[in-house]
Amino acid sequence: MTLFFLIAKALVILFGIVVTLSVWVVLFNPRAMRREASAKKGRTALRESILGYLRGEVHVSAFSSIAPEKEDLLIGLVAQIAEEYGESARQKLIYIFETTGTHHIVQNELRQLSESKSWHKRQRTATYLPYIAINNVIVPPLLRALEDKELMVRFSAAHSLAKIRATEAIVPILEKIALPARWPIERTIEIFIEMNSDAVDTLLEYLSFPGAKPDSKIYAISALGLQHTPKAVPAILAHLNHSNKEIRIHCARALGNIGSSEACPALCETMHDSEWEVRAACARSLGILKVKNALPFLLEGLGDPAWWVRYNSADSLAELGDEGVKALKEAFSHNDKFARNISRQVLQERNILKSDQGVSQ
Amino acid sequence: MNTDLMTVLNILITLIFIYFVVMHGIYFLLILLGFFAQKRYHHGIQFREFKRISQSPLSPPVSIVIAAYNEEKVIVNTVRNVLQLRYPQFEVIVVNDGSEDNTVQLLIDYFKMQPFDKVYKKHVETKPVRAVYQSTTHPNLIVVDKENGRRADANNAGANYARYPIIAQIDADCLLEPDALIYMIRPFIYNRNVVAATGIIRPANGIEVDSSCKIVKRNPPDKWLPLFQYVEYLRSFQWARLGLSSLNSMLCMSGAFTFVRKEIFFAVGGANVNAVVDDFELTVSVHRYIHEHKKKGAMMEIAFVPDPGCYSQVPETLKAFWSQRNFWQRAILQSLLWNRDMACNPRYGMAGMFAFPFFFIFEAISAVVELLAYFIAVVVTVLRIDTPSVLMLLFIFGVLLGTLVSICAVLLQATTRMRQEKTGTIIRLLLAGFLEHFGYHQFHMFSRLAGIFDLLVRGKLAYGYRERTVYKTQADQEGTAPAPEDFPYGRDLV
Repeated sequence: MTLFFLIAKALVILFGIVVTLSVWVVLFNPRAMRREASAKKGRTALRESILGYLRGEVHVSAFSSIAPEKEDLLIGLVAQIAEEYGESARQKLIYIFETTGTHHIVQNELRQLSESKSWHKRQRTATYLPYIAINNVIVPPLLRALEDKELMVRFSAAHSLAKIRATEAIVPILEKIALPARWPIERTIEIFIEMNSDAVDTLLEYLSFPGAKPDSKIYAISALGLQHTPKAVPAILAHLNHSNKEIRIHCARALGNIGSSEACPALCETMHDSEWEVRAACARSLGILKVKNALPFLLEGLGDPAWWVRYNSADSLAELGDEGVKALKEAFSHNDKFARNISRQVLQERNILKSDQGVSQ
Repeated sequence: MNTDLMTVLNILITLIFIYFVVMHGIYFLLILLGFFAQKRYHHGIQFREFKRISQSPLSPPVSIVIAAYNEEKVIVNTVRNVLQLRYPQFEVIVVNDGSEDNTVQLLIDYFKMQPFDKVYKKHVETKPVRAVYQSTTHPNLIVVDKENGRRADANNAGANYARYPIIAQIDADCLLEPDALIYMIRPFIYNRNVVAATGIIRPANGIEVDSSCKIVKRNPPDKWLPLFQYVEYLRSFQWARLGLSSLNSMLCMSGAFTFVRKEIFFAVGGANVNAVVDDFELTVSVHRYIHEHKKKGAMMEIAFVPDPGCYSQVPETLKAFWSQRNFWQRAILQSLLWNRDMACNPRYGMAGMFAFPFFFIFEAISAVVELLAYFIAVVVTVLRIDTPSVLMLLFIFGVLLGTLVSICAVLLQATTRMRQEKTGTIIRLLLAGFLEHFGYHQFHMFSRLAGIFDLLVRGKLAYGYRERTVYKTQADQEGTAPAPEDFPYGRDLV
């Protein structure tokens, strides 16, 4: 019992402390709210100054006397405004950090990127560098950051390099971040999408590079597809029969995304691929290309054993217009029940057919 | 007095003291762990990250499944709220689980739905589907009208019709934040090993929506009963679950807000239709699957997102509260008994070695221990055995310690960006944390005892009494009814 009494005494003291703390929170809440409102006001004022600078109403020297505790706020606001107002604003805002009073901010951030032991800080710096310094200054440290031991820092550095369209970073990114086992493929592809058409030539070069890794090739192919670049079609077609299934799938998808009819014959042929995922991707892409020659292949796809191939084939047939719709209606008498069902579903989804129409199952 | 009786009584008193100290101590530590986990989460969010997810064509599409049974009061608003989520690609599947009210008709009328013959693969067996409808105004909305089979069956039917790789299950009375999908999909995007996720759920009773069902105010409830539950949600569903999650021990993804990879959902056999409630059992099944299929270097995970994305109605009357807690108690106990082979089994990692014993000792049977504590308090009073000190210790360990945990939960909340701004609200929450131990907690205890009895003796599975209220809208205050265009029922029915 003695032990329990001791614990109880400690708890009563702890309870007293917590109650005191609660009273303190309640009493100081109005003051805390006032301070928060004041901080918000300061933030708004700084934002207005930055916007004023963008409009040419405030001189850049106005930021040279910024208080050290407001430096992080300044960086954050500049980045936010740059995102809102676009590339030309970003270029102009960088000059805020080139005055004598603010130049040390960039130096501090660069030091932090290479020396900080906290990966959060390195990541934060890697994220904000494009908004505070010119490309020549930040590209080398960001390229080095692609080799950071922490994947999140590498990822942020890659995004920043994409933001400034640093095409020299493409191959290092493909080599350092294309890690499908550790990192979702989509996240890396997004980096290349952010580079827009600037990435195309380097990505194409990489595809023809004999030592290119298959995993990295998948990233390059997908990114080219999402850039909608017709000049990438021959290079992608060259990989459509690759022994790696994933490469074939991404080639089929990319060809659809590009939307060039040049790819149609190869896609039709690949509708007979041994892997259903490849056939499904081909069927989907043929619908995007809207080439009538694909009709017999898509009709064949209606009876595929895989649901997604049947669905994509039916959906793509509907995309072909009147002829495709007619073919789908004719498929109501298909000897395969699944082909009949999927044809009816797709026509109903598109409001071409009502539920009571069609044929029995 | 009989010395044997005294010895037994002393042992019991000692055990109860230890029980309370350990239980509240663990909760206190879990709350602290949760607090630090939340700090880490906010630290890890990168600039432009949510915008990128919301705009990327490569963000994984999501199928949102809403199981609805007699939900005519809320269903249209819930669907409207969900349809305006900020996310690149998602579909909404409302599964009408044999409602006896106007649920389906309201949906058909409001969203101009037409019947259609959707082809799907039946991964799990469900009660027969009567019809499927697709909206002509929102192509990503379908309604599956099926015979009644309880929520698990409805969720399974919805999953059968789901087209996308991630299934989000929400309740029909839930309102989501506009960015809820972005928050919840983020762990799936950045971590391939995440197979399921859940997030913070808050009581919806105090929130206000605008005429388009978008959440505009997030106030705590006005009434005391929901306010007690608000504090309880803070303590148990927010901090403690986050703490449990950081120990890989979170055994309950709330059915009101669960995200799961479709392949995993079907791999565990879907939602268990024989369970009292499917969410606890689903979470345990996913834990089991994770540990039975673990690969070296790639352990699957269940994520907990500490951003409030979902608001769910909590009972406003004692009758409804009793039913709900009775139901939850049955669910926990049943699932723990069904999966008892996982308890203290190192094969199941922290879930087996910590979560199972913790949930069994401090959740499933806590009501019995509390009742025993009250009984002992009566006995020592009647027998006049060192009464003041025993009663005082019981009060300190049972009530004061519990209050301490609740108040800490409220105080920690005040340090986060989800803090309440008004001093009056903070006072009310702190008071609720204190007052819940005088009446509310005891009522809760008896509802849980009834739940244990109902499961073990009566084998009861049904939910019981439930109520729904219409959400407060800004228009309510302005006195105008935001009746949707061409909607014959007006606002009163929805």
